[in-house]
This record gives sequence, structure tokens and C-alpha cells, in this order.
Amino acid sequence: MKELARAAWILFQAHLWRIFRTRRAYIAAGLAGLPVALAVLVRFVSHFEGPPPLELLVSIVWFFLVQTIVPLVSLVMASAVIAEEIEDRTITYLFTRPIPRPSILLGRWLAVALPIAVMLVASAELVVRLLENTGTEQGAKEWMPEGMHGSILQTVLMGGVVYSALFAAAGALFKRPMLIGLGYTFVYEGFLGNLPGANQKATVVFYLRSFLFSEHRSLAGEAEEAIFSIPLVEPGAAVRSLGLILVGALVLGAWRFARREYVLAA
Amino acid sequence: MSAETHLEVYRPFLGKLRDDPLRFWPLTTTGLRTALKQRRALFILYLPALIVTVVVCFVVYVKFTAEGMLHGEGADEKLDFQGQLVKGMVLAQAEQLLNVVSLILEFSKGMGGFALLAVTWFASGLFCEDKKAGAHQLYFARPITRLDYFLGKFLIAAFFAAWAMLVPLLSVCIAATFCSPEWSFLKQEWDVFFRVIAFSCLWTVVASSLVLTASALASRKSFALLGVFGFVMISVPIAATLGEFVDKRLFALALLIDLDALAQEFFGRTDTENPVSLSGALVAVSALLAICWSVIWLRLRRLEVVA
Amino acid sequence: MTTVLQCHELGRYYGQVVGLNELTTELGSGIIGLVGPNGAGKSTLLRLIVGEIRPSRGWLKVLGEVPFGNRELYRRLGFCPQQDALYEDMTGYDVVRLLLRLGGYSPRESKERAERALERLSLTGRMHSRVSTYSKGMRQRVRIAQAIAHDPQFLVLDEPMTGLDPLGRREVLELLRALGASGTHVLFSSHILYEVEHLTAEIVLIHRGRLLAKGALPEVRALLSKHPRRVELGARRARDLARALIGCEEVVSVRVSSTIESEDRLSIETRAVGPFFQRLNAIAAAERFGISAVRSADASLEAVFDYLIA
Repeated sequence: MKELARAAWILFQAHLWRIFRTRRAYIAAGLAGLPVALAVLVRFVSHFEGPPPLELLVSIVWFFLVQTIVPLVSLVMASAVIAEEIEDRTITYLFTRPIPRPSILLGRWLAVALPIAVMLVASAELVVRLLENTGTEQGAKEWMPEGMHGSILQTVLMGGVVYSALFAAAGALFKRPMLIGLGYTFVYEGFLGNLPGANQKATVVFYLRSFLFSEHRSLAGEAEEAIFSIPLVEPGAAVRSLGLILVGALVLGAWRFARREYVLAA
Repeated sequence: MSAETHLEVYRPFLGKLRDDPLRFWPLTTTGLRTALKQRRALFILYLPALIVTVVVCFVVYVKFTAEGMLHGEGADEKLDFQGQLVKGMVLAQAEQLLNVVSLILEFSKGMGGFALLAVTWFASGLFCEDKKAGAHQLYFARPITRLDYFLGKFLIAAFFAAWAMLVPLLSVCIAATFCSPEWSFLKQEWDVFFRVIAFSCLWTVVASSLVLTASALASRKSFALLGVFGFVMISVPIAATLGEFVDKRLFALALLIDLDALAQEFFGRTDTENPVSLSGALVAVSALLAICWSVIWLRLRRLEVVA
Repeated sequence: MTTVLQCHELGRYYGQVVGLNELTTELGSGIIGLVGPNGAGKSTLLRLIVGEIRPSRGWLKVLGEVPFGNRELYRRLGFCPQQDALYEDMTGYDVVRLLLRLGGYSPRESKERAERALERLSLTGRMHSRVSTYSKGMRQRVRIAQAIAHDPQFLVLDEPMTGLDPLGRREVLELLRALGASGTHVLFSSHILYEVEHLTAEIVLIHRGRLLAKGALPEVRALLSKHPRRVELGARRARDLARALIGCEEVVSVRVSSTIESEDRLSIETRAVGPFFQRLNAIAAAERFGISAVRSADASLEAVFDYLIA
């Protein structure tokens, strides 16, 4: 374990600064900036009398940021954790070092999880601040329910980290992690996540939804029926489930990565 | 050792290169031959479309068969009051649910999704993989123009889109023609064939242009895939938010909503629930196509001029 | 002698393609050249040795251990891969240092070792520049540097001379010779046969996934009895010399080729090269034939290669 942690830490340090110079990081930053751009547009073009409707917050934060942008940003960054090393054929150097193979996955995952978390939390914070100041000043300060601001940031942070772990594991398990990630996000979660019934509990988005809305159901407004087709779980249970998914994905990915052989193109 | 020359084997070219207007055609055929080797992808992407097409054709067959039985000569005389009541209900259902043109309209929406999936899978690597492998240097060392190169690749993308869109829709139309009594569908709704072809062509051009733009911008196929899906999925919530809270016309930013509005228009149906007007949809789709083709043209210029 | 590598019926398949087929051999210490045409299975064998892939059948042991996923073995193993792949946005120094840190060395020791390794490869002046700005030869030097920086017991190099200019090749050859002399076991593959010959007499020749020959080059050549040894002589009185040699029982054939210069060339085939040279010495001492050149035309690795592959 000590060697695993040591090697993962070295790889984390080495790759963290590299990440910021890659095209993927620019694409991810652009994606994370889209909700902010949308909030800016809404703020300066719309004419709300009084505070903005809470449906606007739900629309931008939940439907756009959490359901679309968070998985996309995580996919762009985390699917390359192993895939990039294989495609660039640099994985040979890492495999021929006296380090546990799972440390490669862990170290590189940490090096992308941190920027993902920073980008998404920054995006969420800016969106909330911009929306808070939309409309007239009257009532703007009392617009958001207490604790909602923190819940949004935590939801986005957890979503980014859990999705990144899933897609990093996909990179270790499959040849085309980007395709698997797209299929998971838009087909599996997009389909199962919107089907009525307990199937939703097999998705990450259900637990994110539970964490964000279980104590703020009134926020959903007209969209309540679209969002809540089955009872949500308590925030604590949602966090535990997300933690289990995170650990499970990393353990499975690490186990497979340690045993798999990679035949690199000449 | 003394120096030597071998001039006798050097034959300078004294002829003239044949001016072939279809220089793009070998590019298309080669690309298609390569793409069609991906049998597993073909199976996964086209089998659901095939199944759905067969099911819809069967539904059309059932509709016309049921109508025929219920409208048959002397059919009414054999039925008692209850029978006539049931017949009325069935006819009403058949009319409401199984109007073939409406069915084709709904079917086209579903097929649009398949077409986008198929063309994205097969065509997203057309430009970026060429650039990655350096093949563009080989292509542009031949006497082909940017337009030839673009047309060659565009036809590959269009082929896959057309197979997922045009062929199923025409199949349903043909099934309706043969299942309808005395080919009444063809006699009464003959213009549906042209509408189907026109709408399929529109979908094909839009989907192909979008995918090729992503391919021209991306450095590898997986990025292009992500770009296409990301664009389509992101445009919907953005359009919904801006349309809901800023200006209803901004719903036109979502490609899927625009194509929906155009489909309604093509098939002569009006949908009051669609917030986008016909002119808005036309402007949005035209603008998208203009942007796509401009981007492709500029990116191909960079490929052509090899540093 | 230490047994560095043991293989028993080693096979590796890539679907329907045979990479290696029933390779059984043992390799000892020193410098060994692995030669074979394209697609022979050289890179496959080297990848199996460094544990990048597993055998499809049979087994192999490197320094007495199974290599796949063997972390302790990697402390004693150094590998320079064939593919031109490095972290483009890192400097050469950072690449070598990172890999040393992963090898368990402290930051200070990694720094010293990285500098030393890059200095040995004459890359000190450019080691703080990004790899993306390096020439092909410089990239190759970085790859070799990362393989030797931790002073491995067994060094495996896949086409180490690729991309190097003649000066660079000479430096690498000298480096490998020095490593071999200092006790490091070296196994390298190459297409440049005369350079393999210059560096080592011990060769392993594989073709189509099978072992064709192994051992010291002269011994391997001597085993090829189907192909008589060819010796070329240059002499002023070549035809008289040919008349004298044709009577010797060791000589299989003599061919005279005329040149425009004052001497002709003789091409002689013999089945017993040792006795033939003794006889030639006696004949040349008895009468002046004006012998100006003697060359063993097919004792080279290239000739052996051609005989075995053809």
C-alpha cells in the first residue's frame, strides 16, 4: 500500500501540471464555461421584476450543469487517464518500473480529478452568483433557500469526482472509453435515469438528484414531476452510495489494469 | 569506379492528364469499401433501424387490412348494433392513430436519431484520421482540389445517413402503397414520396455537415464523436433556458427542435406545441450549415497547404 | 556463467498471426545481438522479456524470475523500446528523473542519476529543453538514458541505433561495450548487421517466430556445411595461383574474374577453411604469385543471415 501511495503521488505531481497544457483541458474549461456564459446572457438580457424564478436555477444548474456539463467535462478529462498513455505508447515506461500497476491509474486519475473539481465548482459558483444578481435587487438576497448554494457546489463536486472515476475505470476496462462514456451518459443514464421505477437507482444522476433536491423539493416547481418520478433518498445515503460507486469503479479499474496486457502498435 | 548514367530508361511524360470531372468518386468508393468492413458496427447501428422499419410497415399493413375489412361490401349488414358500435370505435382509432402520413412523420423523428448515430460513427474520422495518419499529404499530392476531397468525404457520410433515413421512410411509403386498396395511398398521397425524399435529403445534408465539421476540427475520432454528441445535447438545454426565460425565438438554437419544426412543415402537419416557427427554423438550420461549410473549407485549406 | 534468459517452447500469438513459435533457448551473460528480418518476432521476444505481454504458451524466465508484473525484477531490468514515444511536453531531464523517482530513488539521487545518464549520452546541453524540440537522435538518446539511469543488471534494447547519425551510433556502441565490460548483461536487436558484428560475436537469429541460430558467429558459420566458405584473393598471377590451388582437396571451386587493373581476382570455395589457409600459406611461400589481398567473403553476419533466411 505504501508503494502504491508513493508511486501514485509521484505520478499525480508529474501529471497535474501537464494536464493544464493539454487540449483536453481547454475543451473541458470551455464546456465548464458554457453554463456561466448562459447565466451571463440570461442576466443581462432578461427583464425579471423581482428575483428570477427558481425554475431558472433548476434549468441551468440541474438540467444543464449537473446533467449535461458535469458528465461531459469528466468524460473529456478522465477518459484519457489510461487511453492517452496507451495511444502515445508511453505506458511501456511505466510498466517497466517497480511500481504497482494500479498506482498508474490512481495517480493519473487524481491528476485529472482535481482540475475537474476546480473547473466545475468554479462554474457552479459563478452561475449561482450571476443568477443571484439577476432581476431587480428586491428580494434577490433571499432568493435561494438556505443551504442550497452549498448543496449545489457539493453536488457538482461529487458528480465530477464520481463520473471521473467511472470514466477512468472505463479506460482501464475497455478499448474505447470515450464511446463507453458517451453511451453511459446519454444512453444509459439518459434512458434509465428518466424511466419511472427503481431502475434509476442504478445511475449516478439519481444520487446527485437526491443530494440536491431531497431537502429542497419545492425548488423543482413545475419540473417536479419530470425530475422526481421515484422517491429520493436522504442526502447521507446519497453520499454513501456515490462513495461506493467511486471506490467500486476505481477498485474494478485497478484490478483489471493490473492483469491486462496491452499490445502497443509499432 | 567511374560514374554512369542511364538516360535510356527515362521517358519524360509528353501526354496530357485526363480531365476527370468525377475525381472525387474514387475517394468515395474507397472510403465506403473501408467503412463497410466494420460489420459489427453496421449490425449494431442498422439492426434496430431495420427492426423498427419492419414493425412500422407491419402497422401500416394492419391499418389498411383492418380498414378494408370494416369498410368491405355488405359488411355493415352483417353487423348488429353492438358490432356496428365496435366497428365505429375501431375505425375512429384507426383514423386517429394510424394516419399514415402522421405515422411517417413520427417515424422520421426516430429515424433521424439513428441516422445521426450512424453517420457520426462512420464519418467522424474522415478528416481527422486522415490528418493523424498523414494521408492528406498523399491525397493533395494528386491532382484533386479541396472540393473533390470534400465531396468525396461528404458522399461517404451522406451514404450512411441516407441508409438510415431515406431507405426506411421510402420502405414505409412503398408498404403503404401496396397495402392500400387499389393503391389508394399512391393516388391520394403521391406527394408524400417527394416530401420524404426532400426531408431525408435535408437531414442527410445537415447531419453529414455537422459530423464532418466535428471531424475537421478534432484531432482524433473520439473527440469528433464527443463534439457531435456534445453539440446536439448541449444545444437543447441552452435553447430551452434561453427560449423560456429570454425570448421564445431562441428555442431555434436547438437543432433537434428546428428539424422537428421543419418536419412538421414538410409533412403538412402543424404542431402548436413546437415553439419555433418555420422561418426561425429555416434561418437556424441555414446558419448552421453556413458555419459548418465555412469551418470545413478553412480547415481543408490548412490540410491542403502542407507546412 | 549466469543464465540471463530461459525460454521453453515459448509461443506468442496475436489472433491468427504467429509472433513467436516454440522458442526454446537459454542466453547467458555478456552482450548478445538479436537479429532477424522484419516480422521475425524480435520485438515480440523483447516485450515478453520485459513483461509487457504474457506468453500464449510455454514459459520464460528472466534472471530466474517470471517477468510479467514482477516489480522486483524491474529494479534490475532496463528497457529501451523501439517506438519513438516520450512525454512531448516534458524535458528530457524530467522524463528520466520521473522514471527514476518511480524506480524508488530519492529526489536528490534521481537528479544525480538523471544528469549522469544524460551526460553519458551527450545530452547535457539540451536536457532542459522539451522533448518536442528534439531531433530523432536526441529522442533516442533519452530513451536509452532512461533505460541505463538506474544501472540495471540486464539491459534490453529494441533497435537502439535507430535514428542516430554515425557519430551517435559509435557513441552508443561504445556505451554498450563499456556496459558489457562492467558486467551488465546486454541484449539488443538491430537490423544493422555490421554494427552487431562489431559489438559482439554472440548472436541469436530468429525468423518467422522461430530460432534459427544461436551462439558465436564463427561457430554458427562453421555449422552451415551446406554453404562452402568463400575466400577472395587478389593476385598478380591469379591464373597460376588458381592452377596450384585447384589440386588441393580442400578446394571445392575456383573462379577467376579479370579486372582492368594489373591483377586478377580469385574466388575460392572451400569446405575446410583452416586447412585451406595452411595450404595457401605453403603455396604462397613456395612461389611468388603476387598475392595482395585475402578476404573471407562470407564469414560475416550478413552472409550467415542470408544463408539462413534464404
